[in-house]
Amino acid sequence: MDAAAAKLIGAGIATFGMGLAALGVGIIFGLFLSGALRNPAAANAQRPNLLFGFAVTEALGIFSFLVALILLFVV
Amino acid sequence: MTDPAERRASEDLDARIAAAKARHAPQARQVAASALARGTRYAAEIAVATVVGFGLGWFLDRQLGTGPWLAILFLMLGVAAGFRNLLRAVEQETRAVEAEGRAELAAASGPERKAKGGPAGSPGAE
Amino acid sequence: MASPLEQFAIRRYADLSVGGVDASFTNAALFMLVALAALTLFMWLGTRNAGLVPNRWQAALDTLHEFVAGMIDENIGPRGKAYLPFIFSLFMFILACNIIGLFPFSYTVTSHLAVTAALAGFIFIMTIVIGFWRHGLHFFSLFVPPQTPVVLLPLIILIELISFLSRPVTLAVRLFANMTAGHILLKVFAGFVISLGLAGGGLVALGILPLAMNVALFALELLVAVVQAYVFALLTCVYLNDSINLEH
Repeated sequence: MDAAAAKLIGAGIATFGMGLAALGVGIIFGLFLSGALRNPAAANAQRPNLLFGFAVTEALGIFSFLVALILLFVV
Repeated sequence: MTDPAERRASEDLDARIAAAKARHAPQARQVAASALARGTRYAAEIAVATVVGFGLGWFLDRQLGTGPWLAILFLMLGVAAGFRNLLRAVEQETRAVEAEGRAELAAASGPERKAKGGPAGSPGAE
Repeated sequence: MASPLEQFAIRRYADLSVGGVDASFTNAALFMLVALAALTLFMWLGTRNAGLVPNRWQAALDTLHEFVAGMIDENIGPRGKAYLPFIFSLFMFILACNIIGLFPFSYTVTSHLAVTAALAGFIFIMTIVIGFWRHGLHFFSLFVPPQTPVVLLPLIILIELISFLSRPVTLAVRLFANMTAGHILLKVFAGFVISLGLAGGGLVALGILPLAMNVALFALELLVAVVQAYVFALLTCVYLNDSINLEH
């Protein structure tokens, strides 16, 4: 296979990680909302946990975006 | 143009208003929106710290000729630096939540204590 | 059809070379001057008939000034008052550049990494200089958080160093990425409108969908323009705070 083509395909595959991170973010916010609906008074106290979970998931998504960018422009 | 320091005098009233507002806890959507806004920032910081760490290690590698090892080490350190920032922010947030909880308790039990002549509004006295 | 990246192209209007360095007058320079002119006009209108009872321009200017003053008071404290002119100018300049970039046929200065990196690099060097000026060599204690076990000290210092070095990068990349991504998105959806309009037949009616999307995106971009100027100024305050009020 042509190296340039392989690079593009690799970058495309790397973006799978972003989609999976999107799933993770959806799960985090979905579970937070379902918990908050059951006990609205406790929702505010879960702010730090929500921040932590979301930031870590989002960071992993950004990592795969970075890998795609590196494959496209650096390698 | 009001000087911020001059406005401090009215902050006592503001604090009481804030405590009254805190009794109506923020909606779940507001909590989620603030987590989204702040979380994006910390997520970007993790990624940037990783890249900066890798760049630093790569530069040192090129200067010292130590193979890929320093780059790998500094990449890990970069990840650690990003997560450290995030954990610090989470700790700060936890403290803020705890302080809010105490303020709420003090606001709820404040008027009765004042009527008894006890120490007014000292949190954590009970 | 034009590429969505074409809007970021730099065009030379007048060639100029200062000591071998290319300093031509480009559209970026032009739109920085436009932002400067707009800000000057705004300031002039706001302070022209300054009175106890503010007129509309003065009220607008007062609101922005109090907003920045409050931000500095909250993040730096009383010692930050000396930096109010700098942070106010920074906030207003970025805000003006972001908003002028949203006008059709204009050019977004802040969508270039060179511009944002120059601003962030200047702030980075400024925090270092202020830190050494105020605290001398004690400024290095920024890299040593309190209550660190001695065993972990080398590791922690390296981690803090990387974290410190990544500050200007985050500052520059955030503004650049937000503005660039938003403007590319606007142009991509505008391209959909045109290609659907040229397709003919029933597809022309479908063109209303990307048009509606563009209107919504434009509102979002207006929000992003203001929020990113705010975030840039806020992070400058946070970084200055570390140099001014060294805690441990």
